[in-house]
Amino acid sequence: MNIATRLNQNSYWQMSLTSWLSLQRMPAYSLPTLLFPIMFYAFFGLVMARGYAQPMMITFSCFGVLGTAMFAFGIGAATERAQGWWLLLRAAPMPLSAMLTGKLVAVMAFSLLIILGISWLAALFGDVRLATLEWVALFVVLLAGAIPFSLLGLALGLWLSPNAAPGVINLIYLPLAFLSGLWIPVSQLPGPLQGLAEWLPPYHLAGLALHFTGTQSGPWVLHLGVLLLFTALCAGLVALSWRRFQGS
Amino acid sequence: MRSLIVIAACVLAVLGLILALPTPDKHPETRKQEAREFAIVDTRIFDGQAFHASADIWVQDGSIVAMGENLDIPARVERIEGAGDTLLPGLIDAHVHTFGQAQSDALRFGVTTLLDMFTSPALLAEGRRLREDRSQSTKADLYSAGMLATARSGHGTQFGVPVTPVTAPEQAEQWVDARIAEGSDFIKIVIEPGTLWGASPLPTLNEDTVRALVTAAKARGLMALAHVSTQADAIMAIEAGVDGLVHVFADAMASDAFIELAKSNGVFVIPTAVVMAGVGGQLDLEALLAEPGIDQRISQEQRQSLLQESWAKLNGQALLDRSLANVRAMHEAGIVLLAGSDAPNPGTAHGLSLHHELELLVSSGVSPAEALASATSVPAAVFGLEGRGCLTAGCRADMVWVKGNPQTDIRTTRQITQIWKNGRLVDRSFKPSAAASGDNVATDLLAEGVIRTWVPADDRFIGGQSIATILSAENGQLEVKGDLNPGSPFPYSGAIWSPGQPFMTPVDLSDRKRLRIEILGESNEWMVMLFSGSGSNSSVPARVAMEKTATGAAVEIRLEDIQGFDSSQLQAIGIFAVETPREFAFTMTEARLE
Repeated sequence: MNIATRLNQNSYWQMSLTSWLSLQRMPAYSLPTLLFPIMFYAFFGLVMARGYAQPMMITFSCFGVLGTAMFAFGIGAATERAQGWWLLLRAAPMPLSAMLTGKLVAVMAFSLLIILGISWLAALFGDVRLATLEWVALFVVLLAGAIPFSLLGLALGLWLSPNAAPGVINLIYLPLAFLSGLWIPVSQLPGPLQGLAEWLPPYHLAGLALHFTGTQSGPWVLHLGVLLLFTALCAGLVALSWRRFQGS
Repeated sequence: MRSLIVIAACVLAVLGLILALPTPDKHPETRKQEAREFAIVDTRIFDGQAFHASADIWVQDGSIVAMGENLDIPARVERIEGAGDTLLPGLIDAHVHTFGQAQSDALRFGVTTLLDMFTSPALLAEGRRLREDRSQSTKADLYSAGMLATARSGHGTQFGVPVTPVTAPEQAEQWVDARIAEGSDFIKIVIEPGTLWGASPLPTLNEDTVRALVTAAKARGLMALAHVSTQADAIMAIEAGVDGLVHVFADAMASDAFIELAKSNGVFVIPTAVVMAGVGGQLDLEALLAEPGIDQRISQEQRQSLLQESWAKLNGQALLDRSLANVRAMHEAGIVLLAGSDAPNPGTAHGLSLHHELELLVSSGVSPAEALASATSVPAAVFGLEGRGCLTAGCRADMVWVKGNPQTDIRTTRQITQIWKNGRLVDRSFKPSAAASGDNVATDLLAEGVIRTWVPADDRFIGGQSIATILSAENGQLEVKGDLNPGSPFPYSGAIWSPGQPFMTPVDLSDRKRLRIEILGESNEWMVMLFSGSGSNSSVPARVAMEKTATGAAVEIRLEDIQGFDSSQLQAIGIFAVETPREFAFTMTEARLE
């Protein structure tokens, strides 16, 4: 049995492929999702605030990952659940975790493209230069960072109705991004808001990426600890929501 | 199988795109700078608060890793032996005005941080960016009040930098908000009736306005500082709640009432004794300029401001004596003092005047360690400058190495052998920079976008009493009015335009051949002045009288014919009413530099 056949029989692989395929076949959704953070970076990181190309490259990448994860899982789960698609999948001879993994792979692939787009913009028009290892660190840290926010999105998607999902998720993720200093550095935020950042997970994800790209050294152990804790918390939330979903 | 190949190709392409992202130049010089790590061992160290007779300091990536006796420093770290020398934290000058090349002029003399008490708000954004940039080592870092708060036509409005006056207490909040929006780090309030200096009285802010400004600043988390020159105003400012005074007053001896008030309010004072000595003509400038090696370090701007003639008409000796006596009294009473120079006022220069200030402080009974603290850890603490003014673990590696022992002779702070900024060696020799290219400078100086860069200019800058105001700058017409009053050797009043940024920075306009100016106004004496050179005002401006016409005056100048003017270093062009004292008004309708 060759690799191709063996992969073809693997439900995780199949679900990853089909999730990607579904995104590929919905360019009206995929292209804006991809281009929005990249465009945002071009406006704010390159045109508006010259001289901050490098830190903003990282925080806007982080913003892109955050959005992709929360939207794909949050809105995706809410609508697909309402459409009855998930019930159908559960009836199929395939673990549900395969479906979730498939979604996560698609989210990561999207995030990868966003980071890649922003990085190349930053390199070409913002003169950003990083050592190869630092570039790799940027991708690794932010892609891993997609996991907790995917979990958060999933937990929300399991709770919310498809009508409520886009509004609620926007209401959570936009302030989260702003207050975590993903658009404007925390130090430039009004004084009273500055203290909020360290209570917000995206701030720590950005901090981790800023640290390992040599952009701005920070307490990376603390960042990592907070993110792990946050991941555990989100996993717990998902478990709770999941029980509710299965009961329904 | 085919999809597998496609996927593998995609993965490889993405990996390739990641690995192809650009990396820093492997230029040996820059690589070496990045990995900058070194230690200075067995040297005397002043850590911002106290002296260590023989200690080691370990620097890595622009920060101090450790400082202390017999440090355990890894063998890989380059070691510099320091016998007989003293290492100081980069100095902080708590009172300067940042014009031209101030930041690099200061740095060449060991001043690594400037607390600016009035400059063009246009410099603030860049200043904020540069002070966070740990890789640069050519400029001192800037913290600034930006625009100052003063009355209409009050002190501070005479320098050609646009100032929005505060005319009523109700404006205070809006005014402070505007400063915050521009990037001011603190607020500077001018209370200056002008009487001490022997000049004519100046309009100044009243107590209610000062109080409103202080309240507005504090409500927004900014410090409020006051310029005063008299004891009465100092008391008024403290009662209004200011955090500090940016000059010692010298109209009277400090009274017990003042001392009590200043102490109980915890007010700090930046005496700037050196500017008192400077404007009073009490500094031996020849001796200061005769210090060995200074010729290679000093810029024309520094030389110029040091030798600039003072506008003050008063008894300089008495002024200095009272200033120093007041410094002594404040110090003995335990009032916090910060070293500041007020450069580039007459008799001062960026960087080197802070060393003169330290000497004056010590001559007023301040101990050398206290004087050094007043230029390092004390301003850092007062202004909340983290990592500055100290040489302990975690501090920035802004360091000055001097020959000798400032603890026994404060003047040794001038015998600098090395300066590090952000852990990098500072090039201490002055290199005049080539004039900026004038390719983008407009031909029509009254075109939209250019016309607004004209500013009023008058002889108050050199101690005169003329006044100029720009009434409007629209549709290719610049309306100027003013008073030309006697009071200086060469009274003038009008408007001036500079191609450079900041103002008066020379720009190479040698490809321009002709200047045409036409104005509408009364038939009287008008003059065009052409400023050129590489320092501010470094040469006397070339003067060309305008020819009277039926409706005003006009002139067409062939630039190459003008003696003493260098169009490859053009600093500014001014149009002025001169000679007959009068109230005047003119409208410039043409100004072309072709």
